[in-house]
Amino acid sequence: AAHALATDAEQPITIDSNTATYDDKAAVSIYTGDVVSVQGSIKVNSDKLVVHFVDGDAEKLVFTGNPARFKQTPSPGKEDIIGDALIGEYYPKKNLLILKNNATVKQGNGTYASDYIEYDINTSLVKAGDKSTDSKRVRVTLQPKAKK
Amino acid sequence: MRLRHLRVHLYLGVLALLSWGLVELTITEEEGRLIVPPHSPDYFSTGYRKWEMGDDGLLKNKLTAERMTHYSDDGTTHLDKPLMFFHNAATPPWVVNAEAGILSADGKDLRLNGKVHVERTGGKSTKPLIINTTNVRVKPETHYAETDEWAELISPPNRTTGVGMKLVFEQPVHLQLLSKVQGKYETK
Repeated sequence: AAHALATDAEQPITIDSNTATYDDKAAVSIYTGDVVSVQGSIKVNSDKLVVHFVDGDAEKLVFTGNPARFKQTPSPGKEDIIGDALIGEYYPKKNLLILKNNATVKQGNGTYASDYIEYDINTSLVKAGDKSTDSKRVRVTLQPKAKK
Repeated sequence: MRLRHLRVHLYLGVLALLSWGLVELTITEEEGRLIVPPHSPDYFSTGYRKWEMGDDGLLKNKLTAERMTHYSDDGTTHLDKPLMFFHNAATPPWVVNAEAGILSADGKDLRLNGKVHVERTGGKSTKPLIINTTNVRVKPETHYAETDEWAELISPPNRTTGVGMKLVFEQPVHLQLLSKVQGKYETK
């Protein structure tokens, strides 16, 4: 059964792909070809995934795809939060997913589009754009609720 | 007269016997050798141990086997339960054991048959690494190994499996899983 947001971060990350390379020197594992990564209710589909290790722990996961797609089920029965981007960076210990380059996140009746979106997988808080630069413009679309 | 005839026949008989005996004795060694079936061992050893040192005098690798059998026709060395240690200065040794192994005549190709277990314990700058697979082809000199079979790579608590593997077991380790890859990482 799908997990609520709170428990997602504690689940192990499982990865399926066509091939994988483990490089001790660079301390990375590179998965390529139809990569499906799952952690609890979070699922990411990408062409490539690079797992960066620090002291043997998966510190950062970098997804790339055309685009890479992610989805999370906030709680059973609730509408999925979905998003995509050319690059996704996931920091398991910070529960933080950063989407870059043509990034969009759809949450309920809102859609966020920018070149830089931060998404907290615990609180499902979305922060779009980047204060330090104007280049990461943000477009938010809020669909009106259907009339009863 | 009859006695003389008898004596002559007696001498001839003894002469014939003597010459037959001499002929038997001089059978050349060639005809006397046993016909040895092809691919039979020329030497073997049980409780086999082999240490190999590097140019620096330090232990480079060590091989033990329950039994080692060498075959003269193709020069191969067959090993029962081989256990190998590949030492290097920087990290703990790689330990490889298998059910059986066949080393080529020139020592460049080693085929490990059946279950193969490869392990390197953790060190100052390395994480423990365990590989379980089967039927591996090893090139000891270049520390390279490959298999077409299922392989499992465990670096606790993370685990990755796949079908087909290529491995360089020397710092820096480089390992490739060729298909049907599944990885699992603990995050907490």
